[in-house]
Amino acid sequence: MIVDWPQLSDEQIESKAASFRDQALASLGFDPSGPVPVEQIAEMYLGYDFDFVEANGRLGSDIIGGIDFDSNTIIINSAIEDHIGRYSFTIAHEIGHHVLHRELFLKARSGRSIMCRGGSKRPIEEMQADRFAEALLVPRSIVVNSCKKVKGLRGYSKRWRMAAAADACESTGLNNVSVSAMEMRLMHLGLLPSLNSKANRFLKAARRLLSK
Amino acid sequence: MSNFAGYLKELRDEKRIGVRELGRAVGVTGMHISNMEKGKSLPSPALIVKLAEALDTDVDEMSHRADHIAPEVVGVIQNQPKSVPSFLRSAKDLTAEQWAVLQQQVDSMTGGKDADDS
Repeated sequence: MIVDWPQLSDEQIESKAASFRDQALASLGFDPSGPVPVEQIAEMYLGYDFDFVEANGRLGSDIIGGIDFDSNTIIINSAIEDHIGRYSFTIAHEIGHHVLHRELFLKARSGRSIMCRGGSKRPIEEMQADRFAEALLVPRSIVVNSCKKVKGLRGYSKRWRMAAAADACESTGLNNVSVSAMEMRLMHLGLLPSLNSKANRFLKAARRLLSK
Repeated sequence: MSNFAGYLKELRDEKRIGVRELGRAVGVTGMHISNMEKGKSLPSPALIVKLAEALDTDVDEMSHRADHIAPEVVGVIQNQPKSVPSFLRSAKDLTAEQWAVLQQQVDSMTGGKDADDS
């Protein structure tokens, strides 16, 4: 099935995620300053059921989640349940498909299909759902108010980045966000330098030269 | 879907508790909670006690929905293996009102103490 997915800017996805979260939390009566209850949003606000499946069952072994718009089901690889960060991100990602892609998907499809999270290739709709998930789980205002920008070369060090992300998880109280998802979020919000920046490419090149 | 399955889902929705969150609260996986809500599995008597506590509901009602008898009630029967079954046989046709009167009489004999207090 070929779907002409919309080109959405980061700001557009950010805005959709924020307004969706505000509406969902207000409707469910949850505190907007706490961890975003994606389970409850998926089930009690959007009306999805969860179906936990063993790896290699309904999903391939490299697939960690999926969404079935026909049966209103979010499918979760049971292996990720022990990791709250991955679990929450997967649900948030599937919510992203619901908000960003459901209508187009249902119009374009020619039979029963499931959108899945995982695998090595990341098509545009998967990247958009990831970006949505990150923005849904980690509200911009909470992070910007409690985290400082990491400046200088240390911002490119994996160790410093992970430490900054772990601190952010702690200081924001967003205890259902993994450190790696927080690192990505800090980078997208400009609180950590981008790994694609010229400075980082220069550092990498310099390291390579020095190691010869 | 069994009587218990829908009841559990309804209670969880009412309390706004996530499937994994409830699982963690009672020491099982979210998958197990989800399976019970789909009628694919039933809880053990011990799990019913934990679920009732986590969902702040009556353990007897929950046991009844799951076609279980609460472990403490089983204990009462086992402690009085002749008199309890005999009493229940005699009382099987009592009306709800008569049961209420009987309960009052038992309460007056025990000073309102139920099995939980002993």
